[in-house]
Amino acid sequence: MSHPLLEARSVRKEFGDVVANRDVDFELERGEVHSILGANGAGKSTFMKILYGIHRRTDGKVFVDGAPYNPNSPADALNQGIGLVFQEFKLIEPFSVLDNITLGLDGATFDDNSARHREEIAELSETLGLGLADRLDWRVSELAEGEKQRVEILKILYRDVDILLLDEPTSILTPQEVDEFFGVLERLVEEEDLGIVLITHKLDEALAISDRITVLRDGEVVGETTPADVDSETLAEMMVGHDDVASVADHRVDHGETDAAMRVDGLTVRNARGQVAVDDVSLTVHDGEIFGIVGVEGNGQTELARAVSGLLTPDSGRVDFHGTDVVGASRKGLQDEGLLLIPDSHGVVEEFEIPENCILDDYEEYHDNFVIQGDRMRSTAQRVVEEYSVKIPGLDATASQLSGGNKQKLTIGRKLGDENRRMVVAVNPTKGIDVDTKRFIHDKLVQERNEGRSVLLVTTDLDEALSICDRLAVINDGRIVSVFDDPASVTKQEVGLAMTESESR
Amino acid sequence: MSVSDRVASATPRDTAFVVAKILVAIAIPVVFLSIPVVLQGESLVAFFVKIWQTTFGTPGGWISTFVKASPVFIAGLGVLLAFRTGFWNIGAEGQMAVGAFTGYAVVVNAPPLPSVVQILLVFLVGALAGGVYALIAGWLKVRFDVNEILTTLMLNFVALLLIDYGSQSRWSSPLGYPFSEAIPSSYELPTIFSGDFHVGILVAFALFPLVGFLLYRTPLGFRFRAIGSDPDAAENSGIPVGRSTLVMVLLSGALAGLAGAIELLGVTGRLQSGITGPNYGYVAIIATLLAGHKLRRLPVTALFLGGLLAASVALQVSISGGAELFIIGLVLLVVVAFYED
Amino acid sequence: MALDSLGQLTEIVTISLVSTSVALMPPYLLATIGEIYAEQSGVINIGVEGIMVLGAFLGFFGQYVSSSATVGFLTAAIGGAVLALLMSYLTVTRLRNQIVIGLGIYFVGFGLASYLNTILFPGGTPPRIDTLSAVAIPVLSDIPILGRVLFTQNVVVYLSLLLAPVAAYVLFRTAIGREIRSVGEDPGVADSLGVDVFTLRYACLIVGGILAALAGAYLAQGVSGRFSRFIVDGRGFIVLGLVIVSLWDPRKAVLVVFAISLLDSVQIRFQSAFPDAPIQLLAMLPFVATIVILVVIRLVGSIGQDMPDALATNYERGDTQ
Repeated sequence: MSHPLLEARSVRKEFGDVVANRDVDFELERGEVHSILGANGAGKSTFMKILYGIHRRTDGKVFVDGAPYNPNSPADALNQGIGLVFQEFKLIEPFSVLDNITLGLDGATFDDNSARHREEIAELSETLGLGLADRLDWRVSELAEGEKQRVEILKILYRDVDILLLDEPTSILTPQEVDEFFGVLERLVEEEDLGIVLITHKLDEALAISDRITVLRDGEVVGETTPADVDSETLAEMMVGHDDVASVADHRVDHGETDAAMRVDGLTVRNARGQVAVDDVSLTVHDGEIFGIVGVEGNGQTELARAVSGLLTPDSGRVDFHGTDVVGASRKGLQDEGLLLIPDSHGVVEEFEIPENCILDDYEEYHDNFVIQGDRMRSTAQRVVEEYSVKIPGLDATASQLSGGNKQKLTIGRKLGDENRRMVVAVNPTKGIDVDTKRFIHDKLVQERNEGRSVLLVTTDLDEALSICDRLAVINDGRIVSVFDDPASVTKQEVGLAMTESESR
Repeated sequence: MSVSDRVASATPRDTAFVVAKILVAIAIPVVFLSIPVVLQGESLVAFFVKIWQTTFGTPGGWISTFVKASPVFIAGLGVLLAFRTGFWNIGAEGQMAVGAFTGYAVVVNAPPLPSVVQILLVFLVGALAGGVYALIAGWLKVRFDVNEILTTLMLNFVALLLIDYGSQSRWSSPLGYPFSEAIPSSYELPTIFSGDFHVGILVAFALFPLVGFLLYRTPLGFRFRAIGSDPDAAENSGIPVGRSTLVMVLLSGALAGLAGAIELLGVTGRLQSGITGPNYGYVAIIATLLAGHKLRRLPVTALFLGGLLAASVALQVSISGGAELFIIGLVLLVVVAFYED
Repeated sequence: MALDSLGQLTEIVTISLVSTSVALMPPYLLATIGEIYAEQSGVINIGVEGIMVLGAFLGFFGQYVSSSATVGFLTAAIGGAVLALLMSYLTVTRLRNQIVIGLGIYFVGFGLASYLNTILFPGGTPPRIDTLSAVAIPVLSDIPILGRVLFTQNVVVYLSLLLAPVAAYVLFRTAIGREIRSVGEDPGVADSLGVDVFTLRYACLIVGGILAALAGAYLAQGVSGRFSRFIVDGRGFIVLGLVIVSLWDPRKAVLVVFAISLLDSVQIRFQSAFPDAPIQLLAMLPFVATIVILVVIRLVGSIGQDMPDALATNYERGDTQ
């Protein structure tokens, strides 16, 4: 009996207490495209990194062509015939396409190795239909994202691999580039008889291109199937789980019609790399409501949150907060107007002690004649710590000594202590936090809502969004693709589908 | 964690490590200073005695140590403030020189005033000039994102040339020496204890709690520390990072400028090419680095370096000028090499 | 009186000026090329000045003791390599901050040179050595103007001018040059392809150190014939700016270095022509010019592509956890 090209059995990976991969089985044959499908945090990234020598598995076995496989580094994996195309390309932007491909190849030191390999590389590009033969001297920085990806692929294939791992390969491609990409995959499988592992959260793409699909959820294999045997709905359910009765916070107060707290109109924002992250978004958040924006990480929600809170300048569009124009205002100015921000990260200064962290936003209120009043600062800290049950070794402890959950409680406690507040923009407020603290924070947010203030909740946590939001928008690829006015009546699968469906459909 | 907690939780290994670091830092200068002595065939015992006497063994030694440590400390305060906000101020040397230069300009041009007022005026102008000089590099960084390491370095050389110009050309002594005329006695800083201990040293003592106060008890210092520790968190909380950086650069240069003015009035008494002494500006940077950017350690490192400088003068090693820099540089490298930050 | 000044002015703007400029190029050129290599591999060495001063002393001392210029240069090269090795160890292996270590190297180099000078030549009249003599290249040196300027120079000038295109070729057209640059752009990517990040950084720093030391030695052995601790006078720091202005390209460095050498020689001529003028103000020019150019470059916004992306960042291989 011949061996599968790649075989993983009972692979387990622990990071301290967290089990990222649990008992994962996986098989790959030559000439096959086998997709690993899962939502954020399902463990597919970890598994892939184990295959590529970036992480060492805690338990289990992996075989390549029947022989045990234990890579110590990516260079190791490459030498053994396994290549990985990262989501963020490992290319050197100022170098030419040709130089990127020939970098690190064996040969004489003072040789012009790029010239030496040129013909062969051009040939390979033609065979695979990658269309790079005439672009070999272009700088990588001059290429489109889709083309860059093809350079990555060519680079890896030129090094003689048998197995190709692709990490979320279509996340930065335009719809047309996606089609071209699938064409390339088909040719790779036909011409080179490779085994391809495609890691993705886009289930319709998995359905379109795979021979087999393995679904991961919470680090475990939920099932392995083929496109013929399954449809989108079933896959979505496998990915996100059954629709438990969403634990909607029942102590909601009915406000009826309320005023708009924030109006966003045609907002377009670019990210740090100059790409459009938020694409013509419009929405309205009312007083006394929790408006949720849910989506897979990296779809523009971070940029959206930063733009509406004054930290990022948009390309175009308007944002109006209670009559104030947000665009052009400073974070501090907006804070004074009552627009608070609970950031994704860097909410506390690790080196500062607790009382100092408690006055980070309004330290100027705490000084008389140039001197910061220590006792006033401490009494504020005392109040926050008590009200929010923050577990601390002592009031003089630095933030770095607190657990993640307590740090977050401290941040939220100090923010919600602002008496002038009118709206809170909360970005992933319960990421990585234990269940009890999560509930506590949710209660506080609902309380804000009940007292007539508004909350814009930006999160990747679907359960959280469904449980406390009054209205829910799904962001995908920088656009708002659906708005659910009654989250109680919506199934998790529906929302999951909107989150993961690719834009081209 | 309070200091007592930290002390209590320090393991024997930590303590041994710190002690070793200190011993090595002391051993290096001693070894290298002794080489010329050995080569000249003189007594090593007398050498050790002399080192002890000229640094911390006698009142005279203490005084000369303080005289040397004071500019290192004052300029070091400025450097520390800058480094803590993420601004690599390598220009302390130039800022100090500018402080001395403008200070002397005041001496030459100011109308007769009571002595105290004259002195304070020189201090003020010197500090201001140093601050503005630093601000050139600061503004270039904030506005144009020009790397401050290169600009402050270049400005150092410009400032030192300015001093040369002032001492050899514009205000040069009519006798043809490469330094200026002496300042009038009304500008000289009064001394206490003995001839060398000028009042400027007391300024160093006063500044320590002042800067500490600024950094730890005022809103401005709060901002500096937040930016220096976590610029993203500072930004998220609405702290104006660019503006605060400029203010801090101004303060940083002002302290170095003040150190220069004090040297002028308290030590040299005239404008000369060596007004920044044995490169006090750079030594101040090393003092800050050795202190691990921690304010409370700066007096210790400044004193240590001051003692080293005093000893090398007494041993006449510094006739070559710059020899102390070798020793100090070596100490820096060795300490940083094994410094688990 | 006016005619006199005109005559003096003509004296300044003479062919000999250009010739002197070329003769003054090696210190800047060698050090710049060396630093280009170091920075292309991702390490910035702000202690170049210190290595140059040490090189100047060692070169001077070597020649003084052996009466051989070659021995002098060799001694300097060894000293430069040792200092560079120390820097490599502290930054590449022990991952300490490159700026801090660079400062330390400056102090150590500068200080060591002064220290050794005190010990080995205590007091008295400072000694002198013979400087390199010009070697006229047959035939070429007979060309009017160009012959005198370019082909009647000393050996080191020829070598350094030849070094530039060779250095550029290696850096931009060979496998190892690409590997070096990849390490400076993105050491993580380079590492994943099997490129030896650490060895390459060590090598480039050491090459930089050797060249800087030779540059300094030339100042003593080729220009002044004496040593004083002020001999380098900030050129090593200017080199840091020159590297940026030449966009990390040894060929462009030749032009930039010529410009600054021209400035240097104008200064010298001016000083001897007008001994009473405040030459300090003129001496500020190179430093001010460097700042201005740095700002201009930022405004034009063009260096982004050419600057090694990973400059001044230490690389630690993320462990396989």
